Amino acid sequence: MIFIRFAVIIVLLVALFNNNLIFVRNIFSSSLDAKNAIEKLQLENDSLKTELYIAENLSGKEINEGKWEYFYAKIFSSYPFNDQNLIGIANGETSGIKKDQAVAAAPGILLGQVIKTNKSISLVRTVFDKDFTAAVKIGEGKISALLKGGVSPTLEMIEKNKNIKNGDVVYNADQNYPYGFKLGEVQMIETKNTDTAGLFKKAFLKTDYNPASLEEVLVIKNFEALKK
Amino acid sequence: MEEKIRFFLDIILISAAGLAQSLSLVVFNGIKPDLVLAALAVLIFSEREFWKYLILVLISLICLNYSVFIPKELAIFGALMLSAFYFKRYLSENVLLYSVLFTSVLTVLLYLFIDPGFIFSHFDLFALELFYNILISLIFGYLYNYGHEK
Repeated sequence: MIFIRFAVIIVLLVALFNNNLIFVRNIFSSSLDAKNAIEKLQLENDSLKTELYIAENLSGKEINEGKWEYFYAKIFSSYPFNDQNLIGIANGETSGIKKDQAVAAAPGILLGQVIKTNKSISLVRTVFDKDFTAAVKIGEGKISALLKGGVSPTLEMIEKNKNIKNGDVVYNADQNYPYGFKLGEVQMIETKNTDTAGLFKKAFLKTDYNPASLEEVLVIKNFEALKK
Repeated sequence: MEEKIRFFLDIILISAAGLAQSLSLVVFNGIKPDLVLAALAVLIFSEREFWKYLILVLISLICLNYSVFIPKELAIFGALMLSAFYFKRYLSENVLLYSVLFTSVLTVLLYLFIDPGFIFSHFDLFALELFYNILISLIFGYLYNYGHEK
């Protein structure tokens, strides 16, 4: 009996160190496929709108070329606590994924950045992580702001005299991620910002997707981030 | 025999809680409640033998593991959960009350060890998670009491 208990504990320890239970997680998550299919279609629709918006409103070598090479990777886990927002994807160095590569939720929609890789698994920091920051532009007026990640990502350092409105598109202007990728839309503008002596205003970012229902992400393989 | 069935049900419960937490299936207002912590805080009273509780903690760590090797956060989580078993002997059998106490103390200790800055810089999020954890441990505790009365 003691031998059996010991064997069970050893098997569990081996499983813990190898983390080869991706297939179990896939079975578990596939039960939600029907519900997620609708959200996926909505995201695809939004992705197409974003590409159109980029083509019509933005200029820049990267955008005009439009040759992003996406690699679809399955999400197999997420960081289980609330102090960070990381997701684990079931591809790593053997699939050509490298640290600092940008990651999209759908073509043209920025989700985060690869922060760690090994042979078979990579970790991605998403815009919902408190340590995520990016320089962004808002709307057709190309108003500058700083995106700070978190459970509710915020747009900060928006000059008070600049006009932004709810629903304005927020897109990336940070050198660490592809220029022009959409992050979401403006919602709930706060004009009373005591932190910055009233010089700036703040708003919240509304993403077009529910991060909890994402099943796969797109790693942008041919984008070189600025080395930090 | 009854004890074996109960242990089997405990394994199913902790696996389901672990996978739900790992896949972010339960999220309230952007906050993930710590289902595994709340479940273990109740199951600690269900298991009399340490090896059974150890198996439950190992299963929960396997389900929660988001990286290849055990990340620091999960190692701390596992150590806290196992050390909680030691303190069980000083408590009475009031599962509902002590599972809430365990859940509260373990949630605070977990963040103090893995990311103390989070408690102070995002106190609203921390407080909300603590509230959800307590609520879930109350539900688990109630189900535990109900199961034992039957």
